[in-house]
Amino acid sequence: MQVQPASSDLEYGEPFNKAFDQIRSGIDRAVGSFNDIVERVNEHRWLLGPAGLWWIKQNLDATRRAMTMVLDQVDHALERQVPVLSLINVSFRWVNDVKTPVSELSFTATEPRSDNIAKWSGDAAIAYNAKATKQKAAIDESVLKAEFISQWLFKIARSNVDYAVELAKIVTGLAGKLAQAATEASTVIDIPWAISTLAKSVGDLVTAGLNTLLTVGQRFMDALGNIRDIATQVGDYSKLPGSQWPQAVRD
Amino acid sequence: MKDLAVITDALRDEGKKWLAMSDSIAKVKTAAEQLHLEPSAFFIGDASVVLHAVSYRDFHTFMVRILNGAVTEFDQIGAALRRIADEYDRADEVISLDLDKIYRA
Repeated sequence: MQVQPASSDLEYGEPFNKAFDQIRSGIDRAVGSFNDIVERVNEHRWLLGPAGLWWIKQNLDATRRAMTMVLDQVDHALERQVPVLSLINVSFRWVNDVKTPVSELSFTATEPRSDNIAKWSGDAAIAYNAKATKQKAAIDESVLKAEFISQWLFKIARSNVDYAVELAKIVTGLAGKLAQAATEASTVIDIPWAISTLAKSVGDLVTAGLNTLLTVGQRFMDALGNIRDIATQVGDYSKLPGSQWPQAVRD
Repeated sequence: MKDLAVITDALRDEGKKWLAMSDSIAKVKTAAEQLHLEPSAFFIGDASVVLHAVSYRDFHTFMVRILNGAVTEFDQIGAALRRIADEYDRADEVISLDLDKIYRA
C-alpha cells in the first residue's frame, strides 16, 4: 500500500493540473474569438473595401502568427503533462518508499536484539561490531542519497509547475484580448481599429510571455548545475566504497 | 557451560535481525526499481532534457545497485553470525575463530 502525503498533490500536482485546465479552456476561447472576428470581417467584406481588407488581413495574420507561437508551446506542454506528473510522483516516492524505510534500518543495524550480545567478546565480536558500524554508515549514506534525488526532482517539478502557470497566464491573457476585440469589432467602423489594437496587444503579450517562459526554462536548465552534485553523489566512495555497498562478508 | 548458551542464543537472535533487515531492504529495492523516468517526464517546455534524463538514469541505476548490495550483505551477515554460534557450540566454548573463513560467503 502506498500512502502519499497530502502535500504531494497540494504543492505540485494540483497547481500543475489547474494550470493545464486553464490552458485548455483558454485556447478554446481564444480560437473561438478569433474565428468570430474573422467571420465578422467576412460579413462586412464589401463595406470594408479592398484596401481596408488588405490592412485587416495583415493585422489578423500577425495575430495568427502570435497565436501559433503560443499554440506550439501548448502542444508541446500538453504532450508532456502526464509524464511530468509521473516525475512529481516519483520525487515523493523516493522519500516515502526509499528514504523512510531505509532510515528505519539505521538504528536497528547497531542496536543488538539481545543485550546478552555484550557478553560476547574477543576478535570475532570486535570484527562484528566494526562491520555493523560500516553497514550503518552505508545505510545512512543511502538515506542521504534518496533525499538528494528527491530534492533534485522537486526542483525540476517546481520549474514545471512555474512553466505551466506562466503558459496558462499567456493563454488566458490571449483569450481575454481576443474576446475584447470580438466585442469591440461589432460595427463596420470599429472593425479596423479593434483589429489593429488586437494585433499590437497580442504581439506584446506573446513576446513578453515567451520571454518569461525562457526564464523558467533557464531555471530548469540550472537544475543541471546539480548534475555535478549528482555525479559527486554517485562518486562518493567514503561510505560506499567503489560505488558499491560495503562488503561485510566477502564473496 | 551456561554463559556459552547465553552468547550463542544472542548471536542467533542477532543473525535473525540481519535476515529481517535483508527482507526489509529487499522490499525497498523492489520499490526503487520502479522509479524510472522517461525523458519526456522532465520538462513540459521546449528545452533539452537529455542531460537531465541521463543523469537521473545513472543515479537510479546506482541506487538500485547499492540497495541490491545491501540485501546480499545483510543476508550474509545473518548467516555468518549463525556460523559463529555453531562453531562455538561445536567447540563447547567461545573459541578463537578464523575470521577470514567466518566472514566469507
